[in-house]
Amino acid sequence: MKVGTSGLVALLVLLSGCVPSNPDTDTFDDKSLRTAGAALSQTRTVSGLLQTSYDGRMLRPTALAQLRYSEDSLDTATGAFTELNPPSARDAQYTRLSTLLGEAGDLVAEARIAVERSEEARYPRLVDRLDALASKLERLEGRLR
Amino acid sequence: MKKLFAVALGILTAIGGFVDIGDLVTNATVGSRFGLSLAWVVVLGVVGIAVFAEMSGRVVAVSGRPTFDIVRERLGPRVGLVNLFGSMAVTLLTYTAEIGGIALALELGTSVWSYFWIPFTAAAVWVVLWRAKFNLLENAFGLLGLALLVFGVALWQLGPDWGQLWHTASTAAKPSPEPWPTYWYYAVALFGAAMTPYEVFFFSSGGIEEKWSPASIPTMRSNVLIGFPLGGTLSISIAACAAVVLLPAGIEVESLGQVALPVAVALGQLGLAVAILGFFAATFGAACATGLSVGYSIAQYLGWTWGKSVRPRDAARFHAVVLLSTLLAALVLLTTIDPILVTEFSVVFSAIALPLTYLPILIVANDPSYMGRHKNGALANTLGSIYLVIVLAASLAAIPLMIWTKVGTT
Amino acid sequence: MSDAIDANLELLDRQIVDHDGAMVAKVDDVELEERDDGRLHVTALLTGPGALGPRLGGAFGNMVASTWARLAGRTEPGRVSWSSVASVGIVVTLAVDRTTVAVDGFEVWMRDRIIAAIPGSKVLPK
Repeated sequence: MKVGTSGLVALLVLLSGCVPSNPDTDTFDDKSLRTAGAALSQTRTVSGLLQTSYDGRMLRPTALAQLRYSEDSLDTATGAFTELNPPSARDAQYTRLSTLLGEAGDLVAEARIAVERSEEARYPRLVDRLDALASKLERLEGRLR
Repeated sequence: MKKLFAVALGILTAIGGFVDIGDLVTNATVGSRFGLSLAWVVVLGVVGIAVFAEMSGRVVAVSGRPTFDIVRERLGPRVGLVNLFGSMAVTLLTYTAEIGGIALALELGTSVWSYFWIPFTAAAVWVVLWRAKFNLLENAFGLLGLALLVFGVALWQLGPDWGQLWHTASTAAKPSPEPWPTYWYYAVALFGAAMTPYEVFFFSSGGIEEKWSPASIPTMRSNVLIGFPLGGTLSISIAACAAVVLLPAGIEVESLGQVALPVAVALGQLGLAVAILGFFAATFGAACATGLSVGYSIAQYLGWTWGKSVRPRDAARFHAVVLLSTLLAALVLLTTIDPILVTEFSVVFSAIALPLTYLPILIVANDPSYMGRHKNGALANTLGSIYLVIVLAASLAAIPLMIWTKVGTT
Repeated sequence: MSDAIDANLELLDRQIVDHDGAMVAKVDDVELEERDDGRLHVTALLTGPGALGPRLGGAFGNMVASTWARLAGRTEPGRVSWSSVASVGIVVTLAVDRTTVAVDGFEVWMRDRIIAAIPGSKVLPK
């Protein structure tokens, strides 16, 4: 009975992808890669939403719904990453990615507010900034692979 | 002329009814991460379900008994019970995912938080199951589901490099960043999504509701052999749209809005609206089908009166099961669990349950005492046996892959 | 109905329908009686968890049977006398109406207590 319960717990832990808060360099690199990828995905999604909205190709309710998801997803990924204690060899990487994640979070929030207020004049500039950030994340991702 | 109309209707319904939330999410996710390198799995799944749907349809048309009835008769109550538990559990999980999917579709259309929609969608599905006639249900949602053809139109409009698409699909060229275990995990998930067990229960029970006879076999066959493959191309077009628009951008699908994004890019607001309508119709139709299937499976095992051709009070236990399942599904969703996560689990667990569902059908379809001269020929048996091996392999690989790839997140 | 039949193949787990074709129950078990000629004769069809439980076997089967017995207030399972049976084929067809054999206590309970309370329960779906 005990083996069964602890086995189940182990299974759930495995499935949840828990990362110990003091990861070693390999685990940390892996986590960095995944977080960068997730941030890239949401940043480009939001950029796409803004661009299609500006072009009159997006429906506002859809954009708002997806923006909500993207923002939540980005926040979760950011939180999971920044709460880690990086191994000392990876301090620079930790700082760099945390900074980018913070910028991404800010931009996505700005996007959400702009769409909420239908301030379409702001969209192109936001798209440019999101795309620039996405390129940085993509380069970081490339270095981590 | 009327016959032609009936045949066409059946085919169209099969196409439109083929795609549910599991297919929507899994195909789009796969397209955004793997391009078309997993398209072969969809083809494999479509052939598989066509083979077994035809078999179970033939069983119903000839014997007048639905699948679960015969499974218990032929394989005994114990095996039948294992089959029942497995199938019911997966179908209930799928039902939960579909109701969640309806809420997601409504969210995309209104921006009102999906969680808020859950009680309404669950109630709406139940009311439809309580009151609507079977035929109406099947036809309405099957036809509305054709709205998803917008993905094919969008793909055309995007003007992709067709040669490149064909090349990745035909050589199963996995994008290098993705690891092989994840590739195979999504292969299993996609397979489970294409061959979801409830489709066969619904199909065979529907045959009883519509009073099939051996004369219905040709119509049934055209529905299956034309409808399902065309439905499969719908799935592939969803994956292709994601491959063309999302994959190069590094966007990985995690929500329904991202599934729809390529359509907005290609066709603008009108296309997007049609896509959302398609999402709604597909998930609502699938919710009705899965809700009924939970009832069908238990009623047919235990010998209760069931179905939509009788008044609810004459099939009290059947309707009680449907009601209870709906409540349960709603409660699970109201725990704020992400409907997409429920969907991901439902397709993988479908893959696990496949041997339980399909092996009995193969056995029964070969039994001359039920089937007479309509029992399986060499083709059906060859294909059926091959698929049994594939289905068993997928079922056994599912949990290890799920653990290894952490539910596909690596 | 005096021919020998293989109860396992042709009776057990079959659907029982009444003379109108309405579903009655499944043949969850059969009641056998040894007659003077040494052969076993089917005297009744048994239905319900009380009959199915023992056939499922093991601890699970016992649990099914005993839970049912507690809820139903008796240990004898639902019984359809063999004399009510008209023919045995893909289904077992009775010569009588299902209310005569009255083995569907659960269905009646469910109908009267819960389903009948919901509006529209008497309406044929359209």
